[in-house]
Amino acid sequence: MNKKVFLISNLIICLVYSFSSSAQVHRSELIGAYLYNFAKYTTWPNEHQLNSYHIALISENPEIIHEVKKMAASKKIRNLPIKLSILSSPSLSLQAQLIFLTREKSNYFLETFDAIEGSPTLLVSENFHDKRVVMINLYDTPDKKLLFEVNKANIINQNLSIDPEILLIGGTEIDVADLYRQSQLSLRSLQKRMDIMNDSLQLIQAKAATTSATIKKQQVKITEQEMFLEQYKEEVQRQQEELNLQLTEIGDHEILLEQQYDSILSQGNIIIQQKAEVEHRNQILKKLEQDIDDKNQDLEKKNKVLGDQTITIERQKDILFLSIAVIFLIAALAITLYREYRNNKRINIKLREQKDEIEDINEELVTTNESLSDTLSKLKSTQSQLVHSEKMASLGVLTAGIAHEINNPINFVYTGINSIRKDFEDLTLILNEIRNLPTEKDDLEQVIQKIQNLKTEYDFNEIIEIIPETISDIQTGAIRTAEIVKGLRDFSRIEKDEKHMANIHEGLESALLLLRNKYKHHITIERNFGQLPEIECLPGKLNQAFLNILSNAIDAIEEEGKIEITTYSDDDQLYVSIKDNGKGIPQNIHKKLFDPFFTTKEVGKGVGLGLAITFSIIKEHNGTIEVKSEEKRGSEFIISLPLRLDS
Amino acid sequence: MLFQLMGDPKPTVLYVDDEEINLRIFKSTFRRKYIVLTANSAKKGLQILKERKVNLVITDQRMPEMTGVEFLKEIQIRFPHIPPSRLMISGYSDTDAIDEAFKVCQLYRFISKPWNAQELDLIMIEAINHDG
Repeated sequence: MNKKVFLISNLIICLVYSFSSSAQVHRSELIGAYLYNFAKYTTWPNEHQLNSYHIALISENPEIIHEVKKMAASKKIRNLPIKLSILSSPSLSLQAQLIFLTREKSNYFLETFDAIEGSPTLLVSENFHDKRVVMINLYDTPDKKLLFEVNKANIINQNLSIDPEILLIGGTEIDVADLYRQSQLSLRSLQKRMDIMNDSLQLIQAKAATTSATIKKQQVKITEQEMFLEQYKEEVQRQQEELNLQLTEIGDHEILLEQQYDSILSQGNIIIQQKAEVEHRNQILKKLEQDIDDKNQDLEKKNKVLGDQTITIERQKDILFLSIAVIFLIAALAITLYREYRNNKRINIKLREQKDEIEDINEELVTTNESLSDTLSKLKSTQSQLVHSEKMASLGVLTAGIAHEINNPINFVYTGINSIRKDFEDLTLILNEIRNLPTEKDDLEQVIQKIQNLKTEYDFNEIIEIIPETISDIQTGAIRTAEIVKGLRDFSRIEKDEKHMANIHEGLESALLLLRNKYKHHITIERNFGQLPEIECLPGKLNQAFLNILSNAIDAIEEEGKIEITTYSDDDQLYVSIKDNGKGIPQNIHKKLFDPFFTTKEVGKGVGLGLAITFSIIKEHNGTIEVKSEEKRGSEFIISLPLRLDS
Repeated sequence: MLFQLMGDPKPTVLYVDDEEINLRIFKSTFRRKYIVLTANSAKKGLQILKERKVNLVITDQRMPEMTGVEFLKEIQIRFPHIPPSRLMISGYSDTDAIDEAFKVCQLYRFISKPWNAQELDLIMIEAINHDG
């Protein structure tokens, strides 16, 4: 009763506070009341040893501090006083029974949560966002109510038990499962995002790889070009050196020319001196009148010579300049020609290298081709050998049967004739008596008596009975031998490769004849032959196909059994169904039936080419082959062949 | 020869073959010198052996139900005390079976079809004398 009254009063407090106008103050009061109730509804495992309940308030909110202080001073929990400590950080609070971290201290929450984990301390938070880690969390609703939520899992983890009725005073329980789901969802979305990022990373990596490959290629190209440039540089350097050499030569020439010029100049000076001397002498000679004219003439002559010399000197100068220009031109020409020639040579070398390479590749291709066609022809010959050996194998299996089959009727003929000959010898004795019948009556009776005796002695009556029997036996032997030989001949049409019109029923009969010895004792053959037109085919090969299937059908029947052969046709196709009631084919090997070398028979009883060859024969005739089989019930092979090969 | 010299009656020969014509021809060929008993299966042959004294057994190898070798083995088991000569006549037979017959079944000779009457006659006499 008390409890209920208390609860109702609390609820009224809550409601009153939440509708009140001075919300902030009353909110703090409400917090105080909540804290008191949290302590009241919680049971600590060690509380019987306590002499007070320690509440640690970690807050800087003066109103909350004030209200909680008020609460602590006025209330008792289970008759024990409340010891309140107000702290700014959680470090000293860890021994408390209840720690309340207000909103502004939320940054300490996780640290505190980890520190008290497993110890009997209740952690109360205010508006903490992560519901997974809270124990009791006070929160404000959009319509300004203050409520709390309880995460029981975390409280239980602290060895604390909490009265479920706590929820009646304004609490809700946190759905842990939902939290888990949400976290899983967010984890999943993170994973997806990671996958996407991974994918794009891989894409980028792939791109990077291709880019680095192209970069490598380009690097290789660049190194090639660098090498080429290097060569080119060397070339240029060499040419420059040559040019320098030529330039120095030209410089030498210039020096020589200057020297010559100098010498000419000095000669000119000498001439001028001589001239002065001559004038001086003229003055002297004027006085010396006799020599004047001669000397004048001489002087004129000398003057003339001098003029000539200056002209030649001028000419020599011109020639020198010209030759220098020509030399320059020639040098430039030579350099360009030389460079051109080098380039051509290099290109030629490259072309030749490429040509050689192509030739090498060609040779390789030719040898590869040769070895391939060699392998092909080897494969072909192996294939034909295998096909041949399978034919031989199936013939070998048949030989025993055929030998027995043919030797019996031959024996009829062989021995039957012998028997008739002996019978005839006996008869001859009697006939001779009849032939030499005497004319006398007395003798006649005697002879008749003799004949009677002979008849008894040689079983005349038996001979007369036996002879027709023996003759018909011989006939049977002869007919059967002829049939077998015909069957063999039909079968051996294999060798002919030309298609011609043939009757399918004859082919089936010849195959049956060859197999008779394998089935005659325990298998009945039921022929449901329809009306079939002759078709264009390779009869020998078709017979081999029929023989393979029939032979398998016979092998499938272990004791008594039946093989039904049904033939029918429609407008375009004819059908041959060979159905046995033997052991059937297991489902798991249906697909392998026509594979070459697949066999269920023991070693030496067939190499596993029978149905593969059959398949290829039917395919060669544009036909199909279908298998229906059930284990322990039997198998049915249905061959369909087009009536006209071109269709 | 010995039989004839000793004035014995005709020797009795049992011939087993699934081919009726072979039986008939054999009988008509040898009826003059032998009492010929024939059976178209090994089973019937065993029945005859139970009832009649036989000097020589001749059998085909390839027969339904019981082969010649199996027939000879069965004789060994059922009539161990009588030692009739054994011949085998067949159109064809795998050598393994014949070897076994020689080793286990006291087979005297293997004759392949088609047989020659005179030769077979000589072998039959030889086999009977060899035994008796």
